[in-house]
Amino acid sequence: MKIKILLLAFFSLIGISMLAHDLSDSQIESLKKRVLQKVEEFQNYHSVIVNTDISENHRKNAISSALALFMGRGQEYTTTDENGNVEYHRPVRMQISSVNRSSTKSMKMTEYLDRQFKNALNYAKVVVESADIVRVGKIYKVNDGEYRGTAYFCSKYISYNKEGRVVYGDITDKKVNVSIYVKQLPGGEEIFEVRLGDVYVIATKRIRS
Amino acid sequence: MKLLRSGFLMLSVLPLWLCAQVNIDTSWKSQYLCKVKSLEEFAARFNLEESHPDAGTDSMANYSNIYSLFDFERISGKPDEIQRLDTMFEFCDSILDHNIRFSMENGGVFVGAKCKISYKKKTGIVDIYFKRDKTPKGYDRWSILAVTGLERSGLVDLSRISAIPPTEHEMHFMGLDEVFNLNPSNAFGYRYSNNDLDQTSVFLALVHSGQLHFEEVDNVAVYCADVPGFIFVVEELPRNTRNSGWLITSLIRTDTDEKIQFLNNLLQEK
Repeated sequence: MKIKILLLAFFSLIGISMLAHDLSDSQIESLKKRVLQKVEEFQNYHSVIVNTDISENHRKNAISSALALFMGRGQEYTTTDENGNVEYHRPVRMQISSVNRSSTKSMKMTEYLDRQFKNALNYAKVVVESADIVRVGKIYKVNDGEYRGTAYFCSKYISYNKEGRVVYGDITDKKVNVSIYVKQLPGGEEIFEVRLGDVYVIATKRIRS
Repeated sequence: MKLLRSGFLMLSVLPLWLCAQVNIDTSWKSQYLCKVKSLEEFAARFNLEESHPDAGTDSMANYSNIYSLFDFERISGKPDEIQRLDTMFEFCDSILDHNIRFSMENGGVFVGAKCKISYKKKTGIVDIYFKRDKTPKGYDRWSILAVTGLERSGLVDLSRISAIPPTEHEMHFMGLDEVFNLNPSNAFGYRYSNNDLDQTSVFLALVHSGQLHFEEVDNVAVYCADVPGFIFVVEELPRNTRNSGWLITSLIRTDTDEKIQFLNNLLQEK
């Protein structure tokens, strides 16, 4: 019995020391997959939000679901630094830069998704297509149980009139900040919670009819 | 010999350049795959851990991969194209001979951001230079290495000298109430005239006091001084070609002394 207790204590210590140190390669790969899933989820919700073939209720639910992927669910939020000081954050934003415009435009994610929902009603059909290439960058430890990274993806947005002609289209490259938190479940198991942050968008090409 | 080398160089670069200009595969997904999407991807291609899709796998693949990181639009069709290609070849040789690896954490790498700020209802541009650093607990962070342009932009006058009356000592400096509390805008001028003001500290003090407002970032450039004999600059070019993303936009041939001088000129405003 004593030996069992000692072994249990020994393995617990190893577990704790693993928690205190950097992630293992397999944990990093697993984290990157989680980030990839979140980005793909966002892209899926985006394509639902602009799809006027789907009911308005379903499209509005997709806005809520998309916002739930983001820090603060799209509202102001706070974090703490390594000294326990509170850091204040604005609601998650979309910063849009265009090759056709010298200045950048910034708007809250709530406003962006709302606009996507309303603008889609101006067209007979809107399609958002993903490039299916999501790159997840290096994951950095920024605090105890907290990591940050960036994900990169590209999508095409095309709107059609009722004659089926392209009214507006663009190809945008996007970069999104990602925050990852280690959460401990009641049973002692640990999970990684992934939240998306600010999105930087570069409109690289306007598609003309 | 130089012509021969430049010719050889052009032949190895030509497929990459052609693909970028002619858009052999115009699909947007294929272009996205070629794009250097992040500085991490730049580092992976620079360190020959990943390849540009058009770089090939022949004996010149290492050179092709490094060349693919250049902004071709700044090279091709220019009057000094041959000289530029020659410099690129020597740059490539230096990287491969010295086994140089690029990383944002390297001592010779820092990032400059041209920022629009406002102070006392005036708007101006400052350059903020960032360096990778660690927190006390050892976590990665960006830190501000230097700020220039506060004076150049006309936002703050750091050369002015203001007077505290020469008789104040007799009054036990009771006039400091007026000096500091009624005339805070003269604060920078009260220093000893041989003490130059450090723009970085002034900038951070103005931010801390809430007087300075950040508007937006106009441009970001990454400076790297780690390759022997060269300094290069990387910027993000969002184009619709197979040569896009984070690319080398400037390559400067320098010796060690010139390197130090270049960096001093950049980080310290005269």
